[in-house]
Amino acid sequence: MLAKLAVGNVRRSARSYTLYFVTLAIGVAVFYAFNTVSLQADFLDSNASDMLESLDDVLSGLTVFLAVIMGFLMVYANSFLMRRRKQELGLYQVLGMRRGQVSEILAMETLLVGLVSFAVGIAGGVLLSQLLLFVTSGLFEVAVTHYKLFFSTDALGMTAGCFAVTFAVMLALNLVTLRRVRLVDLMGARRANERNGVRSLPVSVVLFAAGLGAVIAAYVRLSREGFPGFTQGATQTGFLITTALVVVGTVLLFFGLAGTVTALLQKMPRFWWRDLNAFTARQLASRVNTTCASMAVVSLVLFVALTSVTTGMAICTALNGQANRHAAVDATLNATNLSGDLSNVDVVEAARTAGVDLGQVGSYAQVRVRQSQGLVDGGGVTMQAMTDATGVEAPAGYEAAYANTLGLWVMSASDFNAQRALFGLEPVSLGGDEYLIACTMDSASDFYNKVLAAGYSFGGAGRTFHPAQTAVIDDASAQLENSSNATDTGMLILPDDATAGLPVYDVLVKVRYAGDTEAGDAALAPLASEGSTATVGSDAFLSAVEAQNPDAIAFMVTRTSALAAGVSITALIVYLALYIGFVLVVACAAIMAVQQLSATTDSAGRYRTLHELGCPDQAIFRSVRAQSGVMFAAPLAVALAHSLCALAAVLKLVKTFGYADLGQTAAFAVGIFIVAYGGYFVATYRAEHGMVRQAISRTRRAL
Amino acid sequence: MARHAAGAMPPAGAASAPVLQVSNVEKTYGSKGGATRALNGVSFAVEEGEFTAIMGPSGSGKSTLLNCIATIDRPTAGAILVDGADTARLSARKLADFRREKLGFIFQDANLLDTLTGRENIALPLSIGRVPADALQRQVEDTAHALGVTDVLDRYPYQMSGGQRQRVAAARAIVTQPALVLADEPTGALDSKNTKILLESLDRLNRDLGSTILMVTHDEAAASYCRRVLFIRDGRLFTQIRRGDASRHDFFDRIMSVVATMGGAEDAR
Repeated sequence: MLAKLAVGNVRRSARSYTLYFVTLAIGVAVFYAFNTVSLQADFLDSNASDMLESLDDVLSGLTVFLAVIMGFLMVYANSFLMRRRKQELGLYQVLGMRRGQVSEILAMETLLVGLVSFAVGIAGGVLLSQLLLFVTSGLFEVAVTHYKLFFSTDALGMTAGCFAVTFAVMLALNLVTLRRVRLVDLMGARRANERNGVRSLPVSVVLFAAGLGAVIAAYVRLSREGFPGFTQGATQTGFLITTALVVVGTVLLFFGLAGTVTALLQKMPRFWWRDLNAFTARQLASRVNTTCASMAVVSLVLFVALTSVTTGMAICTALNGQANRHAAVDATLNATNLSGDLSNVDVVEAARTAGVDLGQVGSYAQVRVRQSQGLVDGGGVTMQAMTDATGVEAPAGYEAAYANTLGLWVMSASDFNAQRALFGLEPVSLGGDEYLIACTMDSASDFYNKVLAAGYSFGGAGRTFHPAQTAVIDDASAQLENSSNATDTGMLILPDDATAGLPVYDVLVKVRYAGDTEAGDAALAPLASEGSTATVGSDAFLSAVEAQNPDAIAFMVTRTSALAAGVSITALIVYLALYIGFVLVVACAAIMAVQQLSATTDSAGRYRTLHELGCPDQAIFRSVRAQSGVMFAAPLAVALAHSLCALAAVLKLVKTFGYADLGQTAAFAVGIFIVAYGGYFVATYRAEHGMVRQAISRTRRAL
Repeated sequence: MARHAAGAMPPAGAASAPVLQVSNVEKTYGSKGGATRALNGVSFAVEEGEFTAIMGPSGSGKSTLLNCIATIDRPTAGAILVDGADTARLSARKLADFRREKLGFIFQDANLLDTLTGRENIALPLSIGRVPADALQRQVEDTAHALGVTDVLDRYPYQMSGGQRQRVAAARAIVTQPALVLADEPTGALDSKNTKILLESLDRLNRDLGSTILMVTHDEAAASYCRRVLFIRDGRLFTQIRRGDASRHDFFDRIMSVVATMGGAEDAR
């Protein structure tokens, strides 16, 4: 009998359960799919699958994060449903049902909804994980080698475990609610809410103004001070204050929003007294006022999601675009040590000791990279010195770069030309008191170009150096070691005699294979340590270099491994950004949807009154649409404003990784948002439409 | 006791057509097997400027009748003409306009929108009808003055007393100057003092502004404020009485005696 009642309840309130149900199912699906990432490796070729497996550790950490978010969401949605059903639960007790029996009904309902949504969610998750496999293969630029439908029992078990815990919490909360509430309150539950949502207008205006002020102050602070650790002068405390300002400001903004907008609209009688405008505005005010805290939270979470997705994508684009450029040569070998002088090191010889004759592999050039310390009085040639002399503003994010702390690297013109010859490039020519700058980081290059154009000169080695040309050298020869991203912040090219006494920090060999890449990589294999993405040399290579100079460490990076590392970083960032962003957006949208549906149910009587007063149905639906639209749009609008400000600051930093194409990135992020958030809005409105239609078509109960 | 035949035509010499003409209205609920006949051929007319009550025991069909007149429900057979228009022939879209322009409603539970102030509640039918803002505000003030609720115009319903709420609802019902005001047990949720104030207000609206009011009630005292009382039983018009020049007290006694007759007949069944 109780089971029948429980099934009946779920079926009867199917409409209000729908979004709750969909949210649970999506939660399960996303959770399952992301837990199958390691399994997807089996379908990809070995190189990519290694990386995927290393990625899996990070993902499983995030799984916990996801479980908490989804768990919170389910519990929240559930408590909203509970609140609406208090009266019904009270009725059961009035009719003489024992509390234990009501608890039993409740438990059965929760279990029923849980099981069905879990089953649907797993089915969706299996499909989603197949789809994800192809997305992954696209990201890793490898083909799916032997595709078949796959299913992960590990992921299933994990999902089931998390889901069971969430449900236990939900059930416990439901039973506590039931036990704690007195019968008279249960029966009067509907009437209790009626006074909510009225707040004094002057107070609202003050709150709103304070919130706006705090948010604007935070914007100004962020754009002026930047991020600690990246921007000079930005402190951790300062950033915390900015963050606190944004949070407090956003909350105040939503607390005062409804009253302020109402006060403004009332000043426009032509608008206020037209159609259902006054009604819609008052409805919105009441809705915003009763949910302003959660709206502020939703807004901030959306902000985090927007920023993480967009930033992630921007970094990814920046890295992708430069992987080829910064792995300019087939392989680089080098020995390096920042604090010593490696003048006596010969890497070609060390390679021979470790069993590889570079002459057999292809053509090569060995060059020495020096520090500018000691070239001029009081230290190296730094970016700061350039800024001081020319007034050109240094780019953001370079405060801690070597080019600023130690000064630019230095290479002699003959070394530089020797390795240019390897690329088939024309040699550069320098007068006795001339210098050049080589750099492959775009934002630093911009700076150097301006500095060169300003005719920056410096004294050192008994003369004054002037620029030999007004443009930075940024072709393949400007890159030092192979890398997956831009690493070299700038290097001076000086006449040979001026470099003689400067400390050598890096001895670099660039290798061009005589044969194809595979054969070349194989020939260099004895120099590489185990693992395809490692860059530190093999034990034999390391000890051969150490024998020459105990402080030096040997590295070897082939273009193949640099590109693979780049892809792996890209994939990791994209995965994490999408993962976090999507989950947060779905969670926010679901919370908004549940709130809207609940508010519409509470307002059903009002719509019926409007109908009876002769209000055309279209006008009623227009009002419902406007209310939901504004409720969905308001947190998004605030989040967008926050994001634009934060992204402007973030992009300055991303530029230091290389070129970032925001247009495309933003379009992608916005696309995800429209699909997820907009989809929830449409679904919510459809459900509301049905609820309102039902409310107004029902005849008034006969007396 | 003056008895009139059911469905009596308006007295000869009436200048205009009746505001409400109900002819042989039937209403059947349910399927063929277990059909319930709520209205079984009711006919009557209400003249412009009349203040009429409909009385009847529970289940007599009086609320069904009111719902049919209010166009919230449709009769199974028969015709209802309000201000000359046949309500059965109106489309759903026209019905909304019709309700707004021709009818005013006062419900038992006031049915004010709790998120709106008194002023906004009263203005609602006007703003839906797109009355310009300044004319709208003037009409709201005038109507509120007539019902003595000027001082609660800027309060929310929860800040008003039950009587004030009901009078604001009455103001909302008449602000569009409808052809017919329908009141469904308007005093049902009020104490005796507020009942008196509301009924006196309705009486004044009827006398001073010439509003035509049709009120469903089961309260004999409330009915005694009216000029005419229609009695319904078992879905039929049982009888009707007119107040004429009688005092309210005498009229009350006559209503009581009809109610007693009706109740007796019911008990005998």
